[in-house]
Amino acid sequence: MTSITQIQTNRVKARVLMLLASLSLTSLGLAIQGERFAFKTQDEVYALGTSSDAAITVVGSRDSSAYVLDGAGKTLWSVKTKNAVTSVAVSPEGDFVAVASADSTLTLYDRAGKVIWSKTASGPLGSVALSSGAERVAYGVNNTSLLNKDLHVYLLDKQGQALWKGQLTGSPVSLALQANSQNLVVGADDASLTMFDADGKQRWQQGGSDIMMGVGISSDGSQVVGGSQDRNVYAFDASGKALWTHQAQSKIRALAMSGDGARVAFATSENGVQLLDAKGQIAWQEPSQNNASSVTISGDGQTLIAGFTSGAVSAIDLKLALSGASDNAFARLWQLGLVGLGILVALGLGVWYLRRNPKGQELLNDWNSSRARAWRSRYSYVLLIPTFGLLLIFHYYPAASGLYHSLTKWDPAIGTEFIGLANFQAMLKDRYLAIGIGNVVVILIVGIFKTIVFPLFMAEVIFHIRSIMTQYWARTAFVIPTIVPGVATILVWRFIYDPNLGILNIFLKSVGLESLTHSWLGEPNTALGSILAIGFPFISALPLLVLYAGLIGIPGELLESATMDGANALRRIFSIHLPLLAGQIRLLLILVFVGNIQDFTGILILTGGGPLDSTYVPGLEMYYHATRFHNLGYAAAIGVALFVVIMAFTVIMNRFLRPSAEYQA
Amino acid sequence: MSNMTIPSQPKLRSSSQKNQERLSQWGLYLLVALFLFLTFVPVYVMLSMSFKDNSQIYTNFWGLPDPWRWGNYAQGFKNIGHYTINTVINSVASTVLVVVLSSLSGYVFARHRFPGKELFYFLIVGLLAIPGILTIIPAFVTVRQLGIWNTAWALILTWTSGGQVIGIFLARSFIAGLPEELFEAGRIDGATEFQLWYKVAVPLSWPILMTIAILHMVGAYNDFLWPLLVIGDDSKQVVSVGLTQFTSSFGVTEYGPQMASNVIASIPLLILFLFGMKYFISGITSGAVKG
Repeated sequence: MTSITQIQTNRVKARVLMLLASLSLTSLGLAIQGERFAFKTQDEVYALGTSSDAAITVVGSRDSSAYVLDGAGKTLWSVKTKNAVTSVAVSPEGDFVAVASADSTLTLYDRAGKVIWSKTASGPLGSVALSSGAERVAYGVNNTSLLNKDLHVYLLDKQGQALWKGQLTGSPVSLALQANSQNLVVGADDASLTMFDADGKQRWQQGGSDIMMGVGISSDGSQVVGGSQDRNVYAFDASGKALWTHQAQSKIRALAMSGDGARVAFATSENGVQLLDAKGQIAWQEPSQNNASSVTISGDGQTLIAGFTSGAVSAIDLKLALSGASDNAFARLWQLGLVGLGILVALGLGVWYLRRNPKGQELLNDWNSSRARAWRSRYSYVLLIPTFGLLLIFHYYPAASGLYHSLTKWDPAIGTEFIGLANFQAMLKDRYLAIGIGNVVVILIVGIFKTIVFPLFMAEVIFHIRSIMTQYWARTAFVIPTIVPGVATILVWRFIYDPNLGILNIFLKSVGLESLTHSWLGEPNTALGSILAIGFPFISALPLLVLYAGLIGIPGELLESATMDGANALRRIFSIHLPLLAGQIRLLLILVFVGNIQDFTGILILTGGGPLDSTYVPGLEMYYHATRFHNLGYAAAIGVALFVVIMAFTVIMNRFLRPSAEYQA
Repeated sequence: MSNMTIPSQPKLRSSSQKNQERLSQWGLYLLVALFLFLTFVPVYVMLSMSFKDNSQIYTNFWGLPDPWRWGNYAQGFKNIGHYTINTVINSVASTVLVVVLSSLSGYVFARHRFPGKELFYFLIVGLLAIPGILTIIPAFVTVRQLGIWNTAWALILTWTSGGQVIGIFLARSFIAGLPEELFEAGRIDGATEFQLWYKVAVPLSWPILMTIAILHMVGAYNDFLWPLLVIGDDSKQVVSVGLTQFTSSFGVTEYGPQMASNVIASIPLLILFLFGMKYFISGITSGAVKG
């Protein structure tokens, strides 16, 4: 009887769910207005280039291929490279195509795909640009390794002969060549934007505050734009005077400008592709809001082509898209309203269905009677609704989502693909994770000293002071530094470690130990140690207070009798204090473990895992995969693995470090 | 450690033992002073550098600034003033919500009897064992799906959701210790459940609610990774992220204004501790050990 009822309920549930699913699906399947064609590569789209009429488009992908498409998105030809294609360019007329790849090769093709010349640079090629008729070819070597930085931009003629090279203050990351090759704009990883004239003389330099990921110049050279990782689009006039700045919602990964300078398109890491007008105002926003990785705009400003980390490419007719731009916000609101309405209707239908159906009615009655007792205490449940509402949305659902998505290739905007344990298998081969685990072991061992040994020592010192007032003031004084925010403390220590101005090197020099000075955070051998030494002498408020309160809580007569028996202070500490502090020490051990395994704030701020990879930790690897590589499934898998480790440790600690010797009166 | 010796038999104290005791007490004072000095070196560095420019730092590192560069503070405020205000608004809003929810749910769990009570309670305190690293990335995706990404709600609601967990734990054990007669008297006078909560439970549990508020406020004010993930607009960003925004600027880093920014960022917590330090200390010493 019950089983039949259950089957019935399940059927009803399934119908309601299907109805809901179909409703939400229709609302999501909204195509981009004005889309001309779509294309898909096997991996992240790194580079895009198009001719001024968008009749020829080149797509460079991380899948080590460059695809040449016609105006309708049909593949004309493609080339395979040995490594990811990092930059592509098309001459304004569409006669020539340049392909640069991470295997340090730059190749110039004609329209039909015939190689004109090919050359090898000293490092991975970061960017390439072509002038009208490929009369000039510019490229920059994006060698970001600390030792082999190439700080030059190179200009070649049509035959591939070098004309000049321009000196920069950072490695070139992006290039734009004026159609008549009169001016060359270079964006570099030191946040600079530099303008060169046709002979390689530097005309002016400007800067943002982070890597200049994309630059553009109008065909008359009167407008120059740069898009930076600091989220800003900067516009300058021909002489380098700032015209306007537009702030985007997330990091800019690529930027392009139409020939007349009236349209600037940029790709952001988290908010899709957006279009600005000549004054730097948002003119259009690509509605999917996927993680964009590349963008280009045709010289005539009519076609925008966007590339995404998922490998998708979308060409958009701006005339059509702009005509519908204003409707988008309304469309979204309507969608939301429709979904809400749909849910209400579905619920109503569900209840109606149950009422009509005799089995359903039975079910409703059954439900009611079993909950009769609960009904009397309905106010208790009502009062708990806000708490559980929040927990459901921000804790239970994300936790379940993390566990599930660790088994998937996860991109919320594109879709989710179940891949079983592949993420966990990949973790076994992840070099950075291996380095990170090694570092975390060191951090944990040092953490025990920082969080238990040093504070315990100071708690004992304070506890043994006879004057209660002095005890009070000493304890309070150690709490005061808590008012400095954690990040501010980290930044103060960064200053202490500064190689030139830092207190540490200045101190070493002043006592004649110049040989011991280091660029503390900048050298692989000293970086991790320097991060670990932050907070010296490690008397932080929480462990000190916990241990001190534990000492105060030890019954006086116990210590008195021990003293009577002739136990000295050391003996009392080891035989009475430590066993009786077992509860506090266990708590601090768990805090050391749980806190240090998860935390990477200091490392993210100070070294970002470097120099080389000396300060990587698993949490940082997770963060990078989630934010930089858009590898959310893998990030979730790292989170799950760390969760399992933390849980195992906590259970073990609670089982085996029971405060069995705890004083029992 | 040997200088920690304390006389073994107080009743039979000889004068040499008295001297020895005095000596060891001075040793302890010296140790406390040394460790306090070392602990406060970074604080001193921050304060003194905040009044210098780079060349003064280079030529006159240890001494007091000459002249005092008050302009650093004007620059510092320009840099992080709006971040600080954002953080104060968001963390105060979240703290108010946490106090309300903790006392409400703590009261329900402490004073009501209803089916499934212990299961529900376990569902809440069990979260204390779920590390943030498991949920941070999925929660980030959830926030985007909800459409509150890049809004203050992404901070206030998530901070509140997390902060109420320890809050409910502390409030329940405190309210459970209150005498039942007080609530009984309220019921006899015809108070509703809601009135019992805000007229009896809240006023009586004020000390623990202050502790919850201060612990939560300090935590929210210091949060770095979550705001970094969910806030994109500079104008909405919080101070811990804002402080790091000026470190990679173009050209040479001017340390003076940066240190002044750090000092400015400490002011809200200074104000909080001026009247709330005792709640902070009692919260750590009593509440944490039980957990």
